[in-house]
Amino acid sequence: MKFSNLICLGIESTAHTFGAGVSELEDGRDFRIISDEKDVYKAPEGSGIHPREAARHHVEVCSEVISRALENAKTRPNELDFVAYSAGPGLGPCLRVGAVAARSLATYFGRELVAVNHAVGHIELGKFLARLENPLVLLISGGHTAIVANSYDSWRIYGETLDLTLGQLLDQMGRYFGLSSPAGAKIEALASRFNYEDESIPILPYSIKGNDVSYSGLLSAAKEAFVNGKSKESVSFSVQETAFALLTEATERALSFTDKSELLVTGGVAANQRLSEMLNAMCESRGVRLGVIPRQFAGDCGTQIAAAGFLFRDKGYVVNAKDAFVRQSWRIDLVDLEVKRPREKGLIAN
Amino acid sequence: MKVQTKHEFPPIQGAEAKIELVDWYIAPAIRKHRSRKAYRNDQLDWILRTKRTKEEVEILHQAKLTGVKCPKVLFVDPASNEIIMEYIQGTLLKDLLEAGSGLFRILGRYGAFLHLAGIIHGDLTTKNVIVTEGDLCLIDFGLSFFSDRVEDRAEDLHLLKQALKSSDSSGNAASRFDSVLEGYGDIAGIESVLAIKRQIGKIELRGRYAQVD
Repeated sequence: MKFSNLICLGIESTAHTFGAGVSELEDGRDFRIISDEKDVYKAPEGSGIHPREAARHHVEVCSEVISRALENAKTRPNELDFVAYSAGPGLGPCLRVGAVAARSLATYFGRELVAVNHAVGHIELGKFLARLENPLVLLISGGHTAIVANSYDSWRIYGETLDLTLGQLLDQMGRYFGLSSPAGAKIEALASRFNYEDESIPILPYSIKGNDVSYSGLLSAAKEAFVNGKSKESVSFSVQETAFALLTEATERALSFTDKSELLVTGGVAANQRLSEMLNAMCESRGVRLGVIPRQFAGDCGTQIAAAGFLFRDKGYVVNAKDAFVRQSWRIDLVDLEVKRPREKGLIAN
Repeated sequence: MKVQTKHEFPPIQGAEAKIELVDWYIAPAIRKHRSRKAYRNDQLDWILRTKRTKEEVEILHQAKLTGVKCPKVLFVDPASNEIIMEYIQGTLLKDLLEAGSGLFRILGRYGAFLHLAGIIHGDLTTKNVIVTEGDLCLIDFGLSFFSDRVEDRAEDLHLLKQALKSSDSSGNAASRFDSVLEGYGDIAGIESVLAIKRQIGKIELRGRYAQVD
């Protein structure tokens, strides 16, 4: 049967990463990564991502990254069943680069074009790799800090950040220390060098509202502690301990609210060891199965778009090239998975 | 002496504390114990647990004075972070799927009583409301604090709005929240409701990738 075996090229370009990956889905369940290539835009030391500069970087590397992905997969473009691209949420200029690349490939080679929500990409890939069926999902990255779960035909947000995301908190703290974004790994390294015998840890605000968390006060207080003479190590340690404990507590609340027995952690910040440790301790005490996305696929990548591409294609998100819009603020709870027929237009722009 | 009946109440391991039914002299009571969280830094953990236990007791007492029904505190042990409180029998509002608008209106009134007394519940969801004999009883003041800011009041109700939305599949969430606001207006006045509605709008726009209508 023709559709028992689908091959998809996923193109990711929401923020600092331009990625392309070829994946295969057999019989609708056996997922296999064939190739995964990416090139990450590096912001100058002490500053964040400039959308225009990131988009310029994507334009420069896009054809090379896509060719590498296809070559490594030993796949010719006309062997693909469809091309999936991330349509949002993300930085507009960056999203447009990926959409243009996908649109061109799909039109030139006469392949189907599928619009994918980036956040669902993180989740779908996580589900495939961690082998979880219907988990509560903790999505943590530069763009998201949300606790979501699939319910009926949509994704529901059970808790999220009211202001900064976890990734932003770490990046902004890093920028304050003069590090370049993404700074999560550098903050983690600083925190691991903290020694109790040298100094006391600064106590930072612990702001949890139901299942929601707030990080802006924590960031201000952490900056202030640093200005008042606390070392980078102690501030990093306290930021991690406080911010992660908040999130773990919110996740535990959501677990108890939803009665789920599986937890999936995905997104760029999922690579943090300390956070995994804390979530692991919490899950053990509740008898919940924890699946953390492998470090290599935690950050943005083309494979996540391919992984979600299969789902979105199934749900009718096949678009004509001229209707292939991008939407900077495509919230995950606005992704409608109900309609099964292909919708002609106005799909993403609504 | 009242004849003691057997109550079915399996212990609940909540996110923050363990809740269990215990015998307290002649009546059953609820024991709320905040145990150490293995994932949390020891120092932070201790600060949080004692602070929350003390504040919860203080606020339960103040809430009672406003006329809102909530459990009576029977005993507190700050050293072990445990509270013994009155056992309220009834059904959680969360489990009462066909709950009428009247109950939500009462919930709104109770919210207003608390807010006017400077108390923010902090976790005002349908799983923290027990329906008992036609009345409501608010429980779990574990995240409560004192504040008079519109922002905090709005956040309290915003949380309820989200809880209604995420636990409801029948599409009643919006009308239920309207009933809550109506009840809130009965007590706090229409100006307060409008101010809070405006603030909730702002909070929602602050959310990630919020839609600007």
